[in-house]
Amino acid sequence: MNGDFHYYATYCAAVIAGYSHEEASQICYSAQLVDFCSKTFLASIKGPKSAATTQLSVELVEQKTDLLGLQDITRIWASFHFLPYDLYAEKKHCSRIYRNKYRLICNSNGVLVKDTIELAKNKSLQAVGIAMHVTADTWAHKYFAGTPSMVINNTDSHFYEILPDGDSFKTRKMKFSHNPKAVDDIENAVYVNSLYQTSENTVMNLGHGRAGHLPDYSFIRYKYLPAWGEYKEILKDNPSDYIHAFAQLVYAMQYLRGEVESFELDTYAWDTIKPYRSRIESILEKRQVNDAEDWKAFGEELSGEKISDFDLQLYRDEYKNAAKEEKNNTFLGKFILGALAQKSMVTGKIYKSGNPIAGVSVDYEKNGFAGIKDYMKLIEYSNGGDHHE
Amino acid sequence: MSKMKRVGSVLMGLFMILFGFLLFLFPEKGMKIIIIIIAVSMVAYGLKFLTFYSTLARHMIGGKYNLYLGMIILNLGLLTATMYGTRTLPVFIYLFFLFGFSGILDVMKAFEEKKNKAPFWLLRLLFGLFSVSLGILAIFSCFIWKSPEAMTYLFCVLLFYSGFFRIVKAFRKTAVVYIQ
Repeated sequence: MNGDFHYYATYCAAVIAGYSHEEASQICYSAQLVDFCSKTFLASIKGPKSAATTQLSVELVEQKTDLLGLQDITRIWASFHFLPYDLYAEKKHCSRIYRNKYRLICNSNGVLVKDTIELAKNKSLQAVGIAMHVTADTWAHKYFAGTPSMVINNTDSHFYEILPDGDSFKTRKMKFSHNPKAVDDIENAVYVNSLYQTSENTVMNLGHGRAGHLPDYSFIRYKYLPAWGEYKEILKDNPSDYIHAFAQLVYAMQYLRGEVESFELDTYAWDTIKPYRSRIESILEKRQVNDAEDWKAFGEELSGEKISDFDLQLYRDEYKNAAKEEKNNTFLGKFILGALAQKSMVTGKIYKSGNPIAGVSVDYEKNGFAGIKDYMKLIEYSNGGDHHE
Repeated sequence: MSKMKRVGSVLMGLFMILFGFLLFLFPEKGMKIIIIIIAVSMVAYGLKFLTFYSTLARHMIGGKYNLYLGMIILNLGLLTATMYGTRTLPVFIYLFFLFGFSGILDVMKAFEEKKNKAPFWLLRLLFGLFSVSLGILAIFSCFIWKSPEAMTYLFCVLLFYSGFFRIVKAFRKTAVVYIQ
């Protein structure tokens, strides 16, 4: 998903769920920040690099793909952008190494979605924003894994767009280009994707790179053959997935606000969004690569307030200038804690399932602290008590 | 390309140029070493593909490509090993055939890259065409000159330019399509 959904649509969902303009602004800012909080950004504010929620292209180019490098990549991308659907999924007659990768395939309504939402309960608005990003991406990024893997994430030339044609649909072949300077040509169905590389662990095979930005466009419907799918065609209906994502975000935030007692999977706030549904669907189905203006106009109508554009520098000085003991109470400080908590939770669940692909996780309650020292911040904060909002 | 890979590529390029010089000075001994290096690396490469197929790629769409490629490379590696200690001329013909073949693959890949509007396709095309023309020249030359020494020197040229291109590629800007 792009900034149009993570920022403006999340704002709309938050307002519909009952948050005020100020609260919704903080939630959507945090949801969008997940796509910008790289190690480079954290280094610029002297924050803990383990809290990175994304990797820039320059970082990926220099990223080693040895065991530790792959674990680092997987911790970031599986935790925030490709939440695994079933960590105990079985596949017959395959090697353990294949199964470990297969189990990281993302899909909506997996157990980890519930864990993610529950983790944000009674936490900061920043944690809510992170959870919204992760949940929304389970719809857009389904069928891809947040680890570099050709055998899971690769695609071939079998891509067909499904276009409405009167009362039915017609198909047309889609083409791909690897030129980084090119832009997607939706009229002629020519899209940019990552290079085909035969190395299993190259970053070109990370996530949905081989399918280009298709999962990020709300209007598009297409069918293709995923590498792991044993020649079964997958139909990706983005307008349907995106409206489900929106309704699930509203429901999740109703739960986080305490208006719903428990968060259940496969449950949506259809009744709440009913008055807005046709408007939302018209935005989602519009054939354009960026829906930001439409979502922004809708959000401003909902709240009656002006929505500021996303500015990465907005909270930088507040964090940099804060005293050491006050950093956790700044906007970015709370975001960092939320990111560390999410990454820690997902890594722990993956490790507990017997899968070392995201690294080793240590149970602090049983074994005390060990490993990456950045996470000490999370433990200190958890032990500190009443900092939660 | 990461810094480590760039350093590796430069070192490999320098090694190829150095080896070209050694072969130029000591053609007989150098050729035996070439056979060993090519045979071992092709067998290892073939086994790598076969292992990848059996552990991972057999579940992947189009994964059989790895099986076929692994078998072909492994067999070529074993065939190369059998040429150790045989007469010089057939070995060189075989080696030039291999380089010519990889040149054809490079040309095909360059056109594929051009079709996909990828940068640096021209560099790959030039590299491929040079390999092919050198291969053709060498095969024709061996029937006209019938001289192992001439073949050796041509092979040295091949090593020089391959090493040079590796170094050039190491300093090339890396363009990445980044999908978030």
